[in-house]
Amino acid sequence: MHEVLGIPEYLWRPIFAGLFSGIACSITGVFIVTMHLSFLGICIAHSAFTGALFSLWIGWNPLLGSILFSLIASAIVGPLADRGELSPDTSTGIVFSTMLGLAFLFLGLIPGSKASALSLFWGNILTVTRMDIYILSGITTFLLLLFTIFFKEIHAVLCHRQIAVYVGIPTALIFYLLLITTGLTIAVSLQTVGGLLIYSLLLNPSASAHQLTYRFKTMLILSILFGITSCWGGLALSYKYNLPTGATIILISSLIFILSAIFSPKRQVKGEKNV
Amino acid sequence: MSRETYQDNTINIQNVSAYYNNHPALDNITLSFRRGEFAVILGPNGSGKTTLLKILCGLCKFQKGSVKVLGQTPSSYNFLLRRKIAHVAQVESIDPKLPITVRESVATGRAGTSGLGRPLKKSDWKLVDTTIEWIGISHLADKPIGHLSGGERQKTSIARALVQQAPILLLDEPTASIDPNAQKDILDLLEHKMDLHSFTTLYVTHEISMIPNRCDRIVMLQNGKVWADGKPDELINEEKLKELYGGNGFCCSGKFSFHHTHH
Repeated sequence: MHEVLGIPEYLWRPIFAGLFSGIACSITGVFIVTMHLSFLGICIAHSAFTGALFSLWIGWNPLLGSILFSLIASAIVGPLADRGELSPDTSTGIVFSTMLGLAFLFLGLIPGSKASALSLFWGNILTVTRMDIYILSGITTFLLLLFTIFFKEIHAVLCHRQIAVYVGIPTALIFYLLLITTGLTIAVSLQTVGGLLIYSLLLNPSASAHQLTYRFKTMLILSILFGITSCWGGLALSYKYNLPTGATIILISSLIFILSAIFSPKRQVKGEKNV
Repeated sequence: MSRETYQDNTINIQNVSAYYNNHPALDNITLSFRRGEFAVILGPNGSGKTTLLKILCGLCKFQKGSVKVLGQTPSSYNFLLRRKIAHVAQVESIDPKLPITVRESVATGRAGTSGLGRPLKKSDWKLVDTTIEWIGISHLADKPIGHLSGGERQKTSIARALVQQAPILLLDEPTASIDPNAQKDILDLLEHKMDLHSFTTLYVTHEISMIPNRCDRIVMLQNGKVWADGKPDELINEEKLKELYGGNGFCCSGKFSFHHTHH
């Protein structure tokens, strides 16, 4: 077997996919966790999954459908929640259930074997193509640039949205930019982690980082580190013990969250107050 | 009003009406505020005080009339105008785990002014640190904002408004929802430490005891209309206040004393 740096050549693509998915999902997760939009993340993840099934039904590349449906979900949920006519949870719930209904519809309409459709449930990082890596690296670079250039605006919108409006930051622009990027990240990471598991990779690393620090910059860095650790750790476990990769990635990210929650200084502060 | 006077005014509100679900929040209001004026907008809950401030920031639509702030029409897309209006709202509950410190929260005041996509300069951070020290919260600078008391959070808001270095300052019930000691502290800061005449200041409140003594003018709102507009010593008396608040005794409980000083 041909090896590069002692690692079998066929594992290099999954390693890069894990790196880029880990970074992109963790950064997006910081947006979702800080703004308490976890349900929105779940909704967009399911929409991306529905889009992939739609693509399989009509013979497109699953990535195209994922991107299209996740953007549609973001475009519907964002303004509905923003305008305050419905509570964010209600509007997200309606879009979520509609997307789930469509997913089952498309699953039923896909002719022949459902194997490729079902593989979207848990994803397969081992089968990512060179093109997938390019797309993943593109969205990761875009996210890193977005958070670097607009750091102060993003920090203000995430932590002080109302104040950000009053000090003259184009809050809606920043919010929708983040929302659309979330949709894109989820869509392109779908094949790596799978439709049902992706929101764990979105939430767990950033929720873990959120437990450990009050510094936004530190939270971003920790979240990225936890995301990469989850992807690479899961990949290693999966390779060594022949386990489903999506599951091992998620379980490692969950373990990191449990440890973060146990050692969280925020938890100790609460405990001290209770004494 | 002569053209010169019009131009000297920082804020001009002409025949403005705004409705919420067909209910008038503001009903044909005409007001103007000159540069450096410190006015208190007084009125019971629901009289249209906050709507008025939101209209000035472009965050509330109005159906009739015209509004000019620093010669511009406010709108939700007029970010540049909002950067020239500092705003202190009443304390609201926030997530105690929010990843933002007091220093970073105060620096948010510079986030708009410094320009989109441009990091804060050293001079911005210096201004933030100097203001934090001047307000007297430097010992809290590295604390998470969610760990502060209501009074401390309000001092942070005032520091944020000051670093914005805006010509207009809007104070929307800054002493509401905080304990009496903190209220006294904030009032003292606004009244004795800050020079509210260096801005065009609109101070909204419904509590008579929270009116700073040094204000130039009182505008009384009732049911969305300007009910009275004049000097504090003309308007702040038991008879007027009873009329404004519909005979409600809370505002005239005897705790109130007003000693206006002329400038």
